Amino acid sequence: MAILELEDVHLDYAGSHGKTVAAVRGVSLSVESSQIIALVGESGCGKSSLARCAVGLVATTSGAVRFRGEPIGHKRRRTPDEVRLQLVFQNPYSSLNPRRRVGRQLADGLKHIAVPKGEWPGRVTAALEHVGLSAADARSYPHQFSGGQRQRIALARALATSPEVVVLDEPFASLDASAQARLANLLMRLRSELGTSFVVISHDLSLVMHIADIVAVMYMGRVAEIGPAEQIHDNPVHPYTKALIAAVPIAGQIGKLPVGLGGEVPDPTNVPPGCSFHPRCRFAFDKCRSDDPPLISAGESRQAACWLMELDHGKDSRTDHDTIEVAP
Amino acid sequence: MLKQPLTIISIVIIAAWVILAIAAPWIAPDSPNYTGFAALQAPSAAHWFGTDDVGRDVLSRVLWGARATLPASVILVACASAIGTVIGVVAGYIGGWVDSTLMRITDLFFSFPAVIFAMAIVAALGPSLTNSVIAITAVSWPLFARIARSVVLNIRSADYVLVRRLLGGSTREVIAMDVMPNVIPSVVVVGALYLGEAALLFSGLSFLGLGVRPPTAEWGAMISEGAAHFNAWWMALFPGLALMSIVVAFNLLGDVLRDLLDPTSGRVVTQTAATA
Amino acid sequence: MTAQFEVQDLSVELDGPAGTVCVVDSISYSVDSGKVLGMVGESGSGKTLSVLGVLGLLPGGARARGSARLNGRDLMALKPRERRQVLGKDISVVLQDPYTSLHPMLTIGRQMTDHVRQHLRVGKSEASDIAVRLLHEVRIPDAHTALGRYPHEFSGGMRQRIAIAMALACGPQLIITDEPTTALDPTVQADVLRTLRELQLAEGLGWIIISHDLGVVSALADEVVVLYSGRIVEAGTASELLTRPRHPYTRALLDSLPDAGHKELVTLRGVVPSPANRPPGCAFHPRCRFSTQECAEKVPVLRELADRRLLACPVDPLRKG
Repeated sequence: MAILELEDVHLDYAGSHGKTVAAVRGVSLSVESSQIIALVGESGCGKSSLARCAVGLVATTSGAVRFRGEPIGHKRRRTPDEVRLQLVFQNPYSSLNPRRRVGRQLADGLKHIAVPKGEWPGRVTAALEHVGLSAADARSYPHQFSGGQRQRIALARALATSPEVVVLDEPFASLDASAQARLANLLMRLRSELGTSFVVISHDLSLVMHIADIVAVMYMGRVAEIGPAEQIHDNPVHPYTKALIAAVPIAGQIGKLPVGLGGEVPDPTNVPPGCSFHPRCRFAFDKCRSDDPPLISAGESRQAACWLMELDHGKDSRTDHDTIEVAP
Repeated sequence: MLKQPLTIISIVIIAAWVILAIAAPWIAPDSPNYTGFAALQAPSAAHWFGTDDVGRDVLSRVLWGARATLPASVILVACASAIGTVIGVVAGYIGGWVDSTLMRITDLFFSFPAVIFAMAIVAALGPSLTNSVIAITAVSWPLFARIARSVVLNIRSADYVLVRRLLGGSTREVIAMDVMPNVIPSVVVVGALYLGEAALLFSGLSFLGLGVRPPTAEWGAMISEGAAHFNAWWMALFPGLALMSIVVAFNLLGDVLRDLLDPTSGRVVTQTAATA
Repeated sequence: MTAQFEVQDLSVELDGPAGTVCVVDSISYSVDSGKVLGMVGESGSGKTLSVLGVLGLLPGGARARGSARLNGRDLMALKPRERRQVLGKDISVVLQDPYTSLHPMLTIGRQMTDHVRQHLRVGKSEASDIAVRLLHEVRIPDAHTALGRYPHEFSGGMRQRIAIAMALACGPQLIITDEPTTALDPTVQADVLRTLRELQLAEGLGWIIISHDLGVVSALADEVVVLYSGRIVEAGTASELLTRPRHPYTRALLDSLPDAGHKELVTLRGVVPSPANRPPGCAFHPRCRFSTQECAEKVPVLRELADRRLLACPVDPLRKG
């Protein structure tokens, strides 16, 4: 049973010069309990906008977002039930109030879910210990901690309310390698121990694919490919996914230059007709230029928004490291 | 920080004046309004600061003058900052036409030179100590409104404000728990730094005859009287020194408060350099 | 054109609130023309400050000692004005942040031609030609029009390309890049690195890549030095060091990388020490599971092993591979 459901979500907003930014163009996603879902993509793909819609911070232009079966609101104050759907922001330096002690900030959500005041210190301590910090840290101020620790404090604040789903927006971006590894391990452990589900948004492919159960790759406001992480890692079928994976150099592979993707960087105010990826895709053919592909089945539990799936080219998983192809 | 010499000096000066102001009725050698002494006497053993043109002891008047300037400055800044903070927070948080309207009003007040505007208000209300405090408050609140508003605008989009909403908080809570703890320290610092300016404005109005009414002892008024008797240098010098000392002390206090109240200041540069 | 860049016993000190702190402790390395040196380390390792020290770009309150010779000429012994002539001409630097590496108020054309004319003493139109040629080489579309545009009109990846074009404009012998692609998306990063690599090979430049990303270093470097807390702990050829690391820290860095296996990632306990709190002896010893009493007392000396490997670890626990 899905705890969080996004159904055909669209989000447009007004950009500069009167142009409309089509940030999200029809995304459906469902999150079950004890799951880690990775939402990967590059700048302009709409993943952050989707995250804010998913937790109700921003209203969708169309489409539904349901948490435990109920539509979530965004204008009014959140109900205690809705508090079980949390978001951890990207920047650990601005998501904590610099003037308040850590313990007080962690307890902020508790009164809204009717936890008696006497239990607050216990819950705060438990949350801090879950993320590998200690009870004594509750008395300190945010600036006394490193970026990685602040990110964990922000996560602890979300965990204090015993959420069922936590969305994390680029949680690894401001952290160094060891802090990233610790946070990744933490998410996996919390998923197993608490049954909490995490939706992790990142452009750091290797890290999220390591921890995720399901990976959804986004391009220009749409899901390009979605499926189990191992399958997408070992055998990506959507040309964009292939390009994204080929672009990340792997440690230990000496001299293997990553391959880029030529063409124009996506501009959400100017979505190409047909498949939005076709101008940069070397497999593009006529149908791609005129018809926008929906998500098509590409194996059990896997889907890709690519007309190649109909042609059964999906089995081809070349990842090159030698030539750069710039689409004409 | 608290051990820096400037901090200690400012605290000592302010504390000294507070004590002197409170104790003036008892420690002043003479009554400030008694005009029986010989006029225009240079400083001597009998009159440490000399006497003024109508035969009053200048030292006593300087001590009693503190009882006008100090409370007036503090009350004035307290009122102006309170009014300005409310207006600034409302404008910054609600935004939209409320913000535009309030800011245009603020700009209107801001665009007049403070002293002229205060003079106009006092002239309309009639010169008195109370009215000059009102006038200067009316002229001073826009500064605080702007400060409060800019702090609110900075914070409004900060993630931790959104977090409170995520955790189920209401708008009122956001303002009380996230906005105000950031606004208040900034306002307090600006307020402390403004105390000196307030003291000068207040004395300035009295200097122009628009503040306290004679024969009340007040430093600005005394300087004004002294200006007419330039050879009796002691008449203007001592109240002038008193005013200067309190303004300097207020300014130093403002610096100290700013360093104290910002938990992250001063440490940023060395840390980033060390982690590069 | 062969060139050699040789750094010897470089140290950088910072004045902190609690006294002077040594952030780079006597490091030495060299780069030949046409070769790529990867400088690996996490934040706090001193890698950026070491380069700033060589180039004379340290912030106030910081000092550098040691020597840095480009073709025999010691940059650190030069007067500031002479050093400025070298910087941008013989040695170029591309820094991390694509949003601040270019002046926001000047057009690209103006910035590039100013730079070229300052170092090469050519006329305006020749400088303009050089600028267009370079923008073309870094694959900026419509180079002529681009000259008239401002940095904010370009994306992050394009801005880094422009910064690279400026770095190459005066024909340097050595280029130093400090995490130039970290803030960029993966496909954009791949593009930019490829472009830079092609240009580097074509011009036979020496290249120092400063990065914490072992994938990037694996793809590009010939030689690698690993920095920890201001000291070199291991150095060697990329192919050997990154596949058969000998220092426990290098090994830990490689082990902690994700491999899509869903297993718990290996992490080191503790954190990189701040330079003011560097542990005595080997800076890594509190976090090292092989550390001995000797490690806690004596700073390990960088010894040369077979196979041109340098190692600062008396225990050498991984020697059997």
